[in-house]
Amino acid sequence: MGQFLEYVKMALDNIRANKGRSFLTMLGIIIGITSVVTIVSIGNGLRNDVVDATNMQTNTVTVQVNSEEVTRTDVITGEDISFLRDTLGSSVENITTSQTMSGKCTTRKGTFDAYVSMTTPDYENAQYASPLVKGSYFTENDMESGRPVCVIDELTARYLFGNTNVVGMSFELAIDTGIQEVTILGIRETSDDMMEVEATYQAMGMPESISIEVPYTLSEAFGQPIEGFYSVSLTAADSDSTSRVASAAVQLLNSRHQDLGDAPFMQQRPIDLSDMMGAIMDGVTAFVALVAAISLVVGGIGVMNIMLVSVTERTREIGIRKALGAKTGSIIAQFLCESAIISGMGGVIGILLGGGLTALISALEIGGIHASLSLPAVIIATLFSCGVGIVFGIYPARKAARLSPIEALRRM
Amino acid sequence: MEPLIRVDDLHKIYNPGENEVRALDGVSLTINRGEFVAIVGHSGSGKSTLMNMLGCLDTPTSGHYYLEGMDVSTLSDNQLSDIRNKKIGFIFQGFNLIANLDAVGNVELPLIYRKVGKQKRRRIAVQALKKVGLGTRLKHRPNELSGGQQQRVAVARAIAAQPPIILADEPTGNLDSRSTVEIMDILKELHKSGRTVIIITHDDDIARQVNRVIRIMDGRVESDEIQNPNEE
Repeated sequence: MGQFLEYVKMALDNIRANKGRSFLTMLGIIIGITSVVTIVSIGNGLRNDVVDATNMQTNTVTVQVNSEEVTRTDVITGEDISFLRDTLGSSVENITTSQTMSGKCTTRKGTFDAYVSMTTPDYENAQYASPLVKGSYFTENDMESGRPVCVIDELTARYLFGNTNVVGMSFELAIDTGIQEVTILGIRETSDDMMEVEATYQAMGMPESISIEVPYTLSEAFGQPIEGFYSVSLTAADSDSTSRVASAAVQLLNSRHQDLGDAPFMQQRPIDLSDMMGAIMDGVTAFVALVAAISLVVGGIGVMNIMLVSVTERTREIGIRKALGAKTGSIIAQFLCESAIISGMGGVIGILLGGGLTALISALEIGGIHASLSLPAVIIATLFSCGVGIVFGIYPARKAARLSPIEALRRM
Repeated sequence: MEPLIRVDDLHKIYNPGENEVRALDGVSLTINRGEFVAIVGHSGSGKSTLMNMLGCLDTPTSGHYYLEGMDVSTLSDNQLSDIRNKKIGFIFQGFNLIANLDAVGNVELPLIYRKVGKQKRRRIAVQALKKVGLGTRLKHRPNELSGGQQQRVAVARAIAAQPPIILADEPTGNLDSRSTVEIMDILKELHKSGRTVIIITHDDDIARQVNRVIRIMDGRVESDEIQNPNEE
């Protein structure tokens, strides 16, 4: 160890004696490390921004059957939903569930394929649902008695009847072999955006989008009684309590269905956009970091070049040292220390500059980026820069150490 | 008692085969402790090759070199480094100081490779520099010193490690006459204090000042005479 410090001191003496050149040698490493640290930090910041944006808090969560444990899909019953509503009380605004079936509806205009949502009165205010523009939604009473009523949207009304003044009118709905005459209670708005989308679909020759919402109890009339649902969506009264509501619902459902296993229910993960975007950003960051890493290698070659020049220039010094008793290992250690210190110092300066640039970009919000210094990037950059010095220092160091003292002394 | 240096039928052949150069062609000699020897020869006589052998800077093609009874002609590079470090103090014609180290730093060098601790090393170096009259130039770098002073730093470096042999290769070759006298005086002083001093030179004036003159010609010992040194 003591001897190692001697080599470090020799290296430092020599770096100090050649300040200008040592700095220029470091420059390649400095630029490489600065760019790696800055780019990775910007990538890191972008990633955080994207993840934050896609993680926007919502009030609505969905609890579903844990399909890994339970294969049945019809486990959440109407009683379960009533129980949830009673137990969770005012902390939830809305509890909705539905099951979609396909059917056919027939009017004077013809017969159309339709998506039929078998649902509950709460579905009126389901997440993303458009408001009613005419009439009203079906009620608890309608549901309990299984009345043949429905709610459709303006688009569907136009397809089925040619206009939207259709509250109170009825049409024939067939599901599988069952046929029922259903009466329209209310009309949902179809937004202009949706109309445009539909126009595009039509232009592509796709079938009309006909959607009908009926009380789920009506399923019995079609000979397809719904015993239960696969999932239930809960809208919390305020967004802060969303996750609390979700875990409470999971617990309550678990306790009511212990016969299905330890944990038959779980909170549905929203399609994880943030993970996906995070992965993409990671990819981009890795790519740009790779490009920056190439500049580090170029910097390393610069170190090697200068060290080779230095070996040639210092042939006599090496000869003197060997004549005075330096062994091969001592000379290698001295030169390796020198290249490692040069690139290590370059690394430290690069990290400081990169950190400074990162802070500057964050402070000025250039491009709205909140760059944040990535600790792993800093650690890797440090190790990498020292590694570069050692790897690219080996060749010159060995060259130096192999010089014969007589040859070395004879020069000049 | 085993002589300090015993060289036995030493050969050094460069470019063996065609165009071979027999730099040393069967040199045998013995040098005892405390001798003051000049190895004299013209350039190309083989005296520098002999000096490289005696200084353990090079290994012979054939023959043996016993240093304090140990055969060093077959040692590896790293072993030779060790021998040079412990047994031989070099003084070169071109001083061979390291430019970016001050006087103390230069004198310390052999002690660093001998793994002597920092404090002790510094003390020894300062002492050696005082001995050669450079007690006031400890922090000077070589380019801040005159030729004579630089050579005195080199002498201090050679004696600091207390080696049994001082090997001086044309020590006064680059010096003016006044500095030559200074350096020779120091070498004589070292001899008087019991060191073995070997000077390699082509200069008969230098040769006249030592106790024994070995003349080399064409890679062989031409003459080997004991003399009374001519004190100038």
